Amino acid sequence: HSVSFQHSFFFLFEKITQCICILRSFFSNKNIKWKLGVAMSSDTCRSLKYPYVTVTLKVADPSGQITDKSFEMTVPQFKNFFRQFKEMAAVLETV
Amino acid sequence: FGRLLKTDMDLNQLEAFLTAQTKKQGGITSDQAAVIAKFWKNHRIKIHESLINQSRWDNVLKNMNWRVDLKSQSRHIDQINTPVAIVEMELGKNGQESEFLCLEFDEAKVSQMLKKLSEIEESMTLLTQTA
Repeated sequence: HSVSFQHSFFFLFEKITQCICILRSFFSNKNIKWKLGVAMSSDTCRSLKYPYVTVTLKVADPSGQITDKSFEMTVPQFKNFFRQFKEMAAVLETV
Repeated sequence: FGRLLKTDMDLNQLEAFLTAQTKKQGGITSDQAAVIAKFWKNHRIKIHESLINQSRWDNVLKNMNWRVDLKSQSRHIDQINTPVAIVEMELGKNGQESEFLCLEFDEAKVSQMLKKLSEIEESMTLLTQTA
């Protein structure tokens, strides 16, 4: 009984520590940066030719510490990302 | 196959390449050429995607979830009953554990994001047009 409680506690603890929650992120136009690139070639494939976009967000954690978070998206991933934000805007308007 | 992978041949190039190989001494038979052509046709895109993934070693956006909350309590009166979007982004590198980013967006911040994303879309369209 106590062993299973320990197991679920550690499981939950692990999940929480895996989730870096940065609430209260501050954005201004300078704090969203983007770059569009095309990967031409690599050591594994001489002819890649895929476009990708890199986005960098300036985020602040509750203590006020500001860090840059960067991530890459392929074209379909970006399109989905864009669509999600449009949906968000629509919901925010109606609430 | 090495040559096929490295150059990501399209079907015309493939035909020309395979025909040349069948004509070579000690090269492949036309039956073998047909099998290779069929395999490449069916798997080319998946293989290409897999090769692309191997070249992405920075953070990629793996997943994104969001919900809209209504702030019912706040230190600032004007923030009561304001809707806010809570967004969770899963970022990660190849083969490493993901990092989860939780961000809060009010309407203004979503607008700013949409503006930037429109800029990206515009550039992307220009890029694919000129390609």
